[in-house]
Amino acid sequence: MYKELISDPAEFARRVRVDVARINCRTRDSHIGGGYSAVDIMAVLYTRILKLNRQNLQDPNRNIFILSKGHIATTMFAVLAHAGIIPYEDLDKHLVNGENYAGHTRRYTVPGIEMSAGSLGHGSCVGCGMAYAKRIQGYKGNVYVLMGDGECNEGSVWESVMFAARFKLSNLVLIVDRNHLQAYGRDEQVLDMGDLEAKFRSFGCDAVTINGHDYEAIQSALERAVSDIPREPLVIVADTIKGRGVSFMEDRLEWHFKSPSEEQLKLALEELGE
Amino acid sequence: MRTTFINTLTEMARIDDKIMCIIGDTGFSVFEDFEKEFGPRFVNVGIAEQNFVSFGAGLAAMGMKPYIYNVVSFMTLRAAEQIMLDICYQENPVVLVGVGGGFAYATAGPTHHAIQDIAMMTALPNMTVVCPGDPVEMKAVMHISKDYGKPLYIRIGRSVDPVVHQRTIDFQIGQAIRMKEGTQATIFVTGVMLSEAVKAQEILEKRGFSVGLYSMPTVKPIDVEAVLESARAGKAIFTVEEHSVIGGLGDAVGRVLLDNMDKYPVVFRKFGVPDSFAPVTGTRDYLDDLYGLSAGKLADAIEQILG
Repeated sequence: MYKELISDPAEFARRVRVDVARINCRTRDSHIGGGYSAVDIMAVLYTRILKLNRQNLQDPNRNIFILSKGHIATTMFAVLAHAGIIPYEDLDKHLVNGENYAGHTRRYTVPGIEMSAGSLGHGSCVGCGMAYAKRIQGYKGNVYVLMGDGECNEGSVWESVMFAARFKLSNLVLIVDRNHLQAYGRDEQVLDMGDLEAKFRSFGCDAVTINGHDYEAIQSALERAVSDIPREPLVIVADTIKGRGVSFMEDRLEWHFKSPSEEQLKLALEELGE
Repeated sequence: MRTTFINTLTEMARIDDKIMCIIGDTGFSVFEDFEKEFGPRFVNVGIAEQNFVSFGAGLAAMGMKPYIYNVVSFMTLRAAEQIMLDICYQENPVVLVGVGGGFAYATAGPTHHAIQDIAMMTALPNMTVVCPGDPVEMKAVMHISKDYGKPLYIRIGRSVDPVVHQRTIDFQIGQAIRMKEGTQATIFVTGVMLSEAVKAQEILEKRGFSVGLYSMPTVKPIDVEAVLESARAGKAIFTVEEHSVIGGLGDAVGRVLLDNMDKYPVVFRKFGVPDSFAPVTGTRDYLDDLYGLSAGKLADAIEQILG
């Protein structure tokens, strides 16, 4: 059965967090922390910005959402289920042998997945191509790319940012999930990228830093994108907390990988109001 | 072949407004007219091979027909993962045109020698690999490429390569082109070695050997039937390429023979570049001769085997 898309991003995000916790408890294979840091941004995109449904997924004028941090596939699938794009029951197929719902998102196998991801530093580059192709063919709609802050270690991200600024791809919006934790430690300890907003600005972008868990702030930042006039692309550095929404997961490195036990699931669901 | 590439692309772009040409800051004095005529359908991405390849994939995903043109060694190695994941894995119909295949940039040194690219590209699922042997084959593959609809790698040599085919050819991707028939042996050759293989065949004929010659522009999918036809007749089989002996045409033909060894055990020898970086500086002719790929050395080696 397909879910009806609800309009409240807070409730949308809450339901996604609940499903992700349940699924990851079952699969024992998780990137729950990075999913929870990004889900509020995805909730605003799907409830208020993208206007995607099962009927317009092939429309060249549609908005395109590229999940570049493809490891939060569980969260992506739950988002698609609550957006009414995939059947809700399909969430039971995640990581099941012989099914298509893998640990990283794969185009063509699941409706609403615009790009196969899994290796970092690809989404912003492919996004440049899609945004450029939209522009020269006169198609409407923006290309939104969600990437991790650790992902910004990749040189290819900066190749594409230089390119997007040079070609004034204002129909491209890059969103960085700035949760300050990557796979092996704090961003600042691994490779200190410093002031990301300033870096993107110095590469020729319009950049803004917001609270990535404030729905109104997310929405107004996303609405800054103006696709009609060629100008500098928009980069939203969304300050977030890894594991946001469940106290014992918040800002803890191990929840990049860990999956909740039955006991932890119960506590998590309580905190999430289930 | 580069000249054939840009001329053919220009003709096709006039008819099909989805065609685009993407470069990675290479091709000075080649693309200026194309850029002038087609404006935003020409893009110089800069010296950034990763974004260059993925950008092309994104264009294709949104309905364009991008031809992405770059130096073989940088495109196929530096951006190998982008080619695999953004083009092949996602079935984005991008045409990759690699200039400088083999020892085209010989004196530039091993950074510019492209002798692993066929191995790299044929290993990728969904990829088709074509190495035109002369401008006639290049023009033919260009015309097919426009609506091929699948990832396609075209490996070309230099700006101007000799015309070998003096007649019109029946060119199909995946099919060898018969140039000479012989009773004792067959030479399969791919890419820029075509003219050298023609000379080697002529030398052998003068020495009294009956050796056939097939141009094999498509390395993947390999023309299994063409190989088996010679094997069935018990002919010795030779492959010639300006590429490593690991993973090139020789291995593609060799796999066909290995699969059929129980039925058709034949003499087989591959001629290519041994597993090494060029030890010294040299022109293309010099390096080919060093590695036994000149017409004279090829003829001598084949004569010795045929006895």
